[in-house]
Amino acid sequence: MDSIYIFFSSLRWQDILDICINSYILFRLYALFRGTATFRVLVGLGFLWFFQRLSLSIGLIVTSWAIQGITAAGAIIIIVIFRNEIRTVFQTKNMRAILWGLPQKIHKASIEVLSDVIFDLAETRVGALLVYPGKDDLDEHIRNGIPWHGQVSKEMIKSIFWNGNPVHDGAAIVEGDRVSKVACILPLSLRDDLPAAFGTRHRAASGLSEKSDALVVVVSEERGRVATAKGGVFSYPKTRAELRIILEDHVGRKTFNAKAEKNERLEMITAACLSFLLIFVVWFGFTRSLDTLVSFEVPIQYTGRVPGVDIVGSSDDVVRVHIIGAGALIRSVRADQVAVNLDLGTVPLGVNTLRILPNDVSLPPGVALNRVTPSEIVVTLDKYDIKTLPVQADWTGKLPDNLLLAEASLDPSQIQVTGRSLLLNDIGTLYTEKIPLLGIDKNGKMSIGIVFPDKIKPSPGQKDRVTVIYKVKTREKASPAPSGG
Amino acid sequence: MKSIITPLKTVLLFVALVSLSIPVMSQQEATPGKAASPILKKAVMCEGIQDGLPVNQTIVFDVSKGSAYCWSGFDPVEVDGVIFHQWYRNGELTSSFKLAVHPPRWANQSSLRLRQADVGPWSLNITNETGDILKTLRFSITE
Repeated sequence: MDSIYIFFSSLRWQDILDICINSYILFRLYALFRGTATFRVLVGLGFLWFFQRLSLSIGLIVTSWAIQGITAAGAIIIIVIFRNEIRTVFQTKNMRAILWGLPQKIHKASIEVLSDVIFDLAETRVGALLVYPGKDDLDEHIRNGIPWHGQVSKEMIKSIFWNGNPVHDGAAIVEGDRVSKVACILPLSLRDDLPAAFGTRHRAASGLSEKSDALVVVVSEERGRVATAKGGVFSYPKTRAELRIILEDHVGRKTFNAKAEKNERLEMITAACLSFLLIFVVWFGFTRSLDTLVSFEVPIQYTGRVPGVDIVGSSDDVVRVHIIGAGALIRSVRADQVAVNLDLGTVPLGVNTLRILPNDVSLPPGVALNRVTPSEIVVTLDKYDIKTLPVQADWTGKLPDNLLLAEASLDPSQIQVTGRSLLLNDIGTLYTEKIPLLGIDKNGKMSIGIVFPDKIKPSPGQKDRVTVIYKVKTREKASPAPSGG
Repeated sequence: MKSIITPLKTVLLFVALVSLSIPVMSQQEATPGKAASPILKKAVMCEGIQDGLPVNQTIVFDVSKGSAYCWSGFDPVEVDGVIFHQWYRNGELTSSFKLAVHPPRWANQSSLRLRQADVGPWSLNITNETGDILKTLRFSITE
C-alpha cells in the first residue's frame, strides 16, 4: 500500500499531462485509421517496437538492433505506401473532425445523402458517375480531374451532374464526406462480355473497378437505372437502402442502427482505455527504468543554523550527487533541481562529522539517489564569546647575579576578551610582550603591551596594555633540600 | 486528662529528638569536606629549599641555575591527604606531582630541572584532591 502511495506521490504534473496527450493521440490515430490497411500496419509497427524493447531488456542485442532497423524502415514505408490514405484522412476532415469527431458519423451522413441523391438523379434521368476509392491509389488510373473539395450535399451532387455544368461528363471522386475531384476521366474497360447497352459511363465504371478496389456508382441517363461496379462486377440496387448497404460495405461500415451505435461507442471507450493503458505502460517503461546514471556537483546548503553560530570550517563546500533513473528523465534533470540540505539545528558547537543521508538530498520526481561523494562532511561550528583571562608577564634575559626578581603584580591582572568560543576554550592566559630584565636593578614599574592571539581581541572598554610593578631583592645563598614535614 | 497528656508527651519527645539530630547531621556533612581540603597557608617559587623552607624566592629562573622549586605550606591539616603541583608551560601541562600532606601542618615542594627548551612563561597550579585550584603561581624561565 505504501509503495502505491509513494508511486503516485512521485508523479509529476508533467507525467500526467504526458500520458494524457499521448493516450489521446493514440486514440485519435485509432479513430481515424481503424478499418484501414494503414491501421493494421501501425499495429504491426507497435508490436515490432514492443518486441524491440523486450529484446533489449533481456539482452538480445542483435535482435533488438534488427527490429529497431525494421521499425524505422517500416515507418518510412508506411508513409510512402499509404500516403494517399493518410492524405485522405487529413484532407477530407476538418480540424475538429481530426481532433474530436468520430469518423463513422461522417460516413453515415455522406452515405445517406449520396444514396438519396443518386436515386434522385436516376428518377430525373440525369447521368452520373461517382467513384469511392478503396485502398488502392487511383492517381495512376485517373486522368485530368479538377480539385473540388466540397462537402457532400444533395444540391452539390446534383449541380455537379447537371447537364449545363462543364464538369458533368466526368466522374466525381468521393472521399469520406467530401467530393475531392470532379471531371475525372476513368480508364475504359476493354472487356468484350459487357452488355451492348452499356455506354461510356458503364465502360468507364467497369474499367476502373477492374484495375483497382474502388467502388464506382453509375446512373444511366437513358434508362434511369443505378448500377455499382466493384472488381469488374456490376450490381443493380433497386432501392436507396440497397445502395446504402453496398456503400457501407465498401467503406467498411456495417448497417447503422441503435445496436451498432452502442457497439461503436463501446468500441471507442475500450479503445480509449486501451490507449491510456498502453501509453501508461510505455511511460512506465521509459521513466521507471534505472538505466542511466549521471552526477552533478552540488553546493551544500546549511539550514536551521542557530542565530549567532557560524560555520568556521568545512571539509567540502560541494559534493557530487550521483542519481540514477530512466534516460528520458535523467536527461531533463537540471543541476539546480538537485540540492543537498544539511540541518544544523541540533549540531553542537565544535568539529562535527555529518553523514549525508538520502533525506538530505532533494531530487526531482522520478529519479533516485545512487550515492553522494563524499558521504561525510566535517563541519566546524563556532560562535563569538567573551572570556576573562589572567595576564602574565613574560620576562626575558637575566638580572645581575646578586639580584632576584622577587615578585611582580600586573594592573589590570585580568582582561576580558572577545573571540570564537573554540579558540577561547584553548586559551587560559594572556601574556605580555617580552619584558627585558637587562637594566633592572631596583623596584619599579613599567607599561607593557599584551600579546593577543590571532582572532582574539580585547572586549570594548578593555585595555590592551598593563602596568607591571616589580620588586627586586638581593640573592641569598641557596641549596636544594629534600621533602619536608 | 491523662488522654491529653500522653499525646503531648509524644510530640515533645519527637521535637526533642529532631532538635538533637539536626546538629549531629550537620557535623556529619561538614566534617569530610573540611578534613579533605588542607588549608594552603603559603606557596612560593624559589631557587632552593633549606631546612624545609624556601630560599631565594623569585619569579624569574635563569636556566643556568639548574632547577626551579615550588614550596607550599599547609596549616592546619586535619587528616592525611594529598595535594598536586601541576606545572604548565605556555598553558600546557608538562608535569604533575602528587604530594602527601599530614596533620597537624605540613610543607612540601616539587622541582623542575631547567633546560634550554623550557625558556618562556610558566605557571603552577596547586590543587587539592578534588581538583580545586588552591593557588596559581606564575613565573618565567629565561636564559
